[in-house]
Amino acid sequence: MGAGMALSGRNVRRAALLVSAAGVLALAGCGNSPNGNRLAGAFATAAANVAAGQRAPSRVTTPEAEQRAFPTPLLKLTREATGDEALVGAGGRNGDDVTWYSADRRAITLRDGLLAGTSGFGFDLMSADLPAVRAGGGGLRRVHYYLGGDERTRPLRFDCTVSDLGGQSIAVAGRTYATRALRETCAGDGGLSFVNSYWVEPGGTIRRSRQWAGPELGYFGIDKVNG
Amino acid sequence: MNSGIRVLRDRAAPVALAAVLALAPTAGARGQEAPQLNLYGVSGLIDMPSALSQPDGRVSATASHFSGITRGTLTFQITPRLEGSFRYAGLADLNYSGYRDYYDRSFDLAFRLLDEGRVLPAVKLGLQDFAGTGLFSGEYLVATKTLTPSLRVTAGLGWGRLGSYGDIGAPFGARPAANVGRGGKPSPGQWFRGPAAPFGGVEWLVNDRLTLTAEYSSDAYDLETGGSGASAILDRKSPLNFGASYRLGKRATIGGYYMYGSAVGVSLSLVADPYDPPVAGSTGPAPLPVLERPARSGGGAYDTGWTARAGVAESYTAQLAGLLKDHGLAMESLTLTGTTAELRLRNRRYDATAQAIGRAARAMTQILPASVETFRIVPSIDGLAASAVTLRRSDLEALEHAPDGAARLLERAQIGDAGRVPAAAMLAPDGFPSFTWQLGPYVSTSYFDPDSPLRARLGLELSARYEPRPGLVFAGALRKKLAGNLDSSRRFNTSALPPVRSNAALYAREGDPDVENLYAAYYFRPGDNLYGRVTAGYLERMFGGVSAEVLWKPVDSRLAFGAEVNMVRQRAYGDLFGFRDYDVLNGHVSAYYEFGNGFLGQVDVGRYLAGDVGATFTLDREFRNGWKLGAFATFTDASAAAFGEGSFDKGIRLEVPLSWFTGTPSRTSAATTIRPVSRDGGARLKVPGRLYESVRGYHRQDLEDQWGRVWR
Repeated sequence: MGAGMALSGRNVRRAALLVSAAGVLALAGCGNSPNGNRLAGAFATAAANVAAGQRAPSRVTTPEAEQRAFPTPLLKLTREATGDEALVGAGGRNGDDVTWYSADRRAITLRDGLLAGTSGFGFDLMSADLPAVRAGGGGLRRVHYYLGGDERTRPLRFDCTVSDLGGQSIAVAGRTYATRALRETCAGDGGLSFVNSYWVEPGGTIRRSRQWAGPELGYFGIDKVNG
Repeated sequence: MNSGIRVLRDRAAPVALAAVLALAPTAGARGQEAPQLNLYGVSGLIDMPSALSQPDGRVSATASHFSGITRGTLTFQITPRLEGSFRYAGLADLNYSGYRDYYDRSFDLAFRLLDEGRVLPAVKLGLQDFAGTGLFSGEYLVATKTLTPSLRVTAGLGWGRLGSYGDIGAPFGARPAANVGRGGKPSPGQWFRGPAAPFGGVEWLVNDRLTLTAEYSSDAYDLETGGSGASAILDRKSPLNFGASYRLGKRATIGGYYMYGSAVGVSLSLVADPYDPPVAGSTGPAPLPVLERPARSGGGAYDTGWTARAGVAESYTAQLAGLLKDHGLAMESLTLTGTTAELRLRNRRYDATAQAIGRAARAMTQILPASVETFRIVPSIDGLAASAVTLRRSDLEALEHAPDGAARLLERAQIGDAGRVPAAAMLAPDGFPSFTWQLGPYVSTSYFDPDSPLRARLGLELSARYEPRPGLVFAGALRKKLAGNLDSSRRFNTSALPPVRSNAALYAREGDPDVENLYAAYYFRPGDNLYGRVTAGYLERMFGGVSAEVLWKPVDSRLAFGAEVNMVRQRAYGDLFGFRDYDVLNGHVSAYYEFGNGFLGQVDVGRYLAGDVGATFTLDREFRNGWKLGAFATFTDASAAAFGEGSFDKGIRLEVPLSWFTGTPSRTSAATTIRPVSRDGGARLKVPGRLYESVRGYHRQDLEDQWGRVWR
C-alpha cells in the first residue's frame, strides 16, 4: 500500500532480468498439475481483456458456397457490440432447444429459432420464457433471466408486440429467400426496450433474425446459412 | 492445494491486488456515486471524517501524502452501517521514539447511527486508531446533510487528536493519560474524554467526476509540528484545507489538496465492490449439452441388460473419466447399477461448486446408458467425500433450458451426506496412483518492518504431489530464492516467549533453498457427518511433526465443531531437514457458525505454539462469489509484557478469487493476512488441508450461494 519493493541499485538490473524470466515462466506454466493457474496468469488475463478492447473483430472467411454446402446445419452469428462473426454448429438438441457452438466454445440456444440463452460471453442470458412470436399480435410476455454480480438470478420482464411487415426477399449466404418480416417490439423492467426482427420462410423456418440478448450483450444477428 | 482451493497465501501483496484492480476493465458505471474517501482513507472530507458510508461490501485502498506524512489505508464497508479500516502511516524525519522515520499501524471503526432523511442529516460515530499505539487516536460524532444534489455540508465534534485544535472544553471530563504499554489494546477509558473541538466542511459535487472540498480541521498536529520532542515536519499555519478530487473511472479517484496553509497533498483511491465484477457470469467455455434420451416407448433403450455384460460398466467408466477430464473435472470413482450412478468427483477448475456439479451431470447424460435415471454426484477433496448431490436425469433433461431452470433444478435436487464409498465402486482408470508436479514463481512478503515496511522475495517453487489411492497424499514443495530483500531484515527475536514465529528473518536468511513442506496426509470419513485428517512430516516452514484433526459438520448445518492436536518440533533455520531443540504439544477445539448473509464466526480454544493457552476469535464476511474479508484476535495467558509490541495477536485477512478478475472459472484465489505485529504469542501451526474450509464449499450453503451457475 504506499510502499514499493526496495532493491539496492546494483541489484536492480539483475532483479529486472529475473523478474522478466519469472514472468515468462509464470505465463508459460510449467508442470503437469491441472490447476496451474497463478496470480501472474490473472495479470495476463486482465491485460488481455484490456487489449481485447482494441483487437479487430473476428470475421467469417469461409466462402458462402462452402457454407451452403456444409453437410450439417450452420448459423452465422454476428455479435453487434463487438462486430465479431462466427459460424456455429448444432451441438446439442433437447426438445425444441438447439444449442449452437462456436469453435471457441461459446454457445447460443435457440428455441424454434428464438434466442433462449447464451453461454460464455459474460453477462449471459441464462434462460428465457419466450412468447409465440410467429403467431403475432400484442400483449405477449417475455421473461429473461440473468445472473448478477452477486450470484443471484434476476428476471427481466417485458411486454411485447409483434407486427407483420409483409413479404421481403432476403439474401443469406449468397442465396435469395422469400420471407415474411416480423418485428417484435418489447419494453419492460428497468426502462429497457428492444426490437427483435425475424425473417420467416413460408414453412416457419426463421432464415434470418436480429435478437436482443441483454443489456450488456446487446443484439445478435443470426443467419441460417444452409439447410 | 489440499483443500482443493489453491490459495496464494501471502504471495499476493495488497500492492499486487491493487494493481490488478486498476487493470480490471470496468463495466458501465451504474448507480449512485459513492462518497469520497479522505486522506485517512475513510469516508470523509479531506483530513476530517463525514457521516456518509461507502456502498455495502466495498473494499477500498487509499494512499495519501502531504508534508512527509504518508498513509496507506484499507477500508471495508463491513455492513451497510459499519466501516472498518486498517492503516499504515509513515512520518518521515519525525525523529520520534528512537526512529528517524516513524511508522505506525492503526485500526478505525465507524458506525452510522442515523440515515439521512428529508430533514435530519446522516449521523455517524467513529473511533480512529482505537487499538494501535494511540498516536492517531481520536473519536468523533459527525453529521452530514445533502443540501442540494451538488452541495453537502458536514459538521462534527472531535475528541483526542480530533479535539486538539480550537476546543470548546471537555464535556465528558478529562482524558486520562494514555497507558499505551505495549500498544495494540483498545483504551475505552479515553474515548470521548478530554477537550472536544468542532470541525466541518463543505463538498461541492461539480459533476460526476469532480468534487471540490473545503474543510476546517480540529486536528492541531501537535506531534508533527514539533511536540513531544519530535522534529517539526508540518508547518500548520491555518486550520483550513482545500481539495479537489477527480474520479478517473468507476474504480479509481485521484485528489490534490492544499493542507494547513503550507503543504500540498495528493491521494489515490482504488475501490472494488465484490458484487460488481468486471464481468458478471463467466466468459469460460460453454458447457456440454444434456444428451436427450430416446422416448421410453422406443424399444430397448431403457433395458438394464447391459449390467450383465462383462466390461460394459468399465467401458462407461473410462469414457466418462475421459470426458470429465476434458472439462477440468476428474473422476475418482464410479458406481453403476442398472438405474443409478454414483460419481465421486474431483473439481479442479470451478470456483462455483454448483457449476462443477452441473457440468459433471451433463457429462453423465452424454455417456451413461438410458436406464440410469439417478445421478448421485459426490464431490471429493483429496479423497474426502464432502457431500452428495442427487439429481434425476429426467429433471436435467426437462430443465436444461427451462425458464429459471437453475432454481427449479435446486428445488428437485437432494443435497445430503456423502456416505461411504460403495463396495462396487470402480476407480477411474489411469486415475490412481496420480502424480502431479509444478514449477513456478512465488512471492513472499513481510510487512511493517520499521527498517523497510515492505519486504518481498521472488523465487521459484517446485512442488509435487503423489496420491497412490484416494485419500492418501504425499506432497512437498522446494523453494529457491531469485531476488528480494526478505533476508536483509535485522529484526530478530526479542520476545519473552519461545521464538516460534519471531525468527522469520533467520529462516529467510539461512534457508535458501528451503523445503517449504514435505508431508504425508491421510483424509478419511470416520462416520456420518464426520471428517478426519492425519498429517505427518515437515508441515510448514517452521515446524514439523504430526497433526490430527476431526470435524463434525452436517451438510445442512450452520454449526460445526472441530478438534485438532499437533505434536510438533521446531525446524532448523537453514538445514533443509534438521530440527531445533523445541517441542510443543498444541491443539484446539473449534466451533464454527454461519450467521447468515455471509458472516462466518469461528472460536478456537486451546494451546498455541509457544505453549500459551487461550482462544482465537475470528469473524469473516464471505461474499457468494468467494471474496472474503475478516478479522481475528487471539487472547492467551501470555501477558502483554511477554507478548511484546502489540500486546496480543490480531489481524485482518482478505481473500479474492482470481475468477472475479478474469471472468473465467478458477479455484485459485489470492489471499493475504495482515498482522500489525507478528510475534510469538497466540501463534498457530500452519498445517495444510484443514478440514472445515475444505468441505464447507460443497455443503448446502455454499452450493446454494452459487447455484445460479449450475447450468453454466
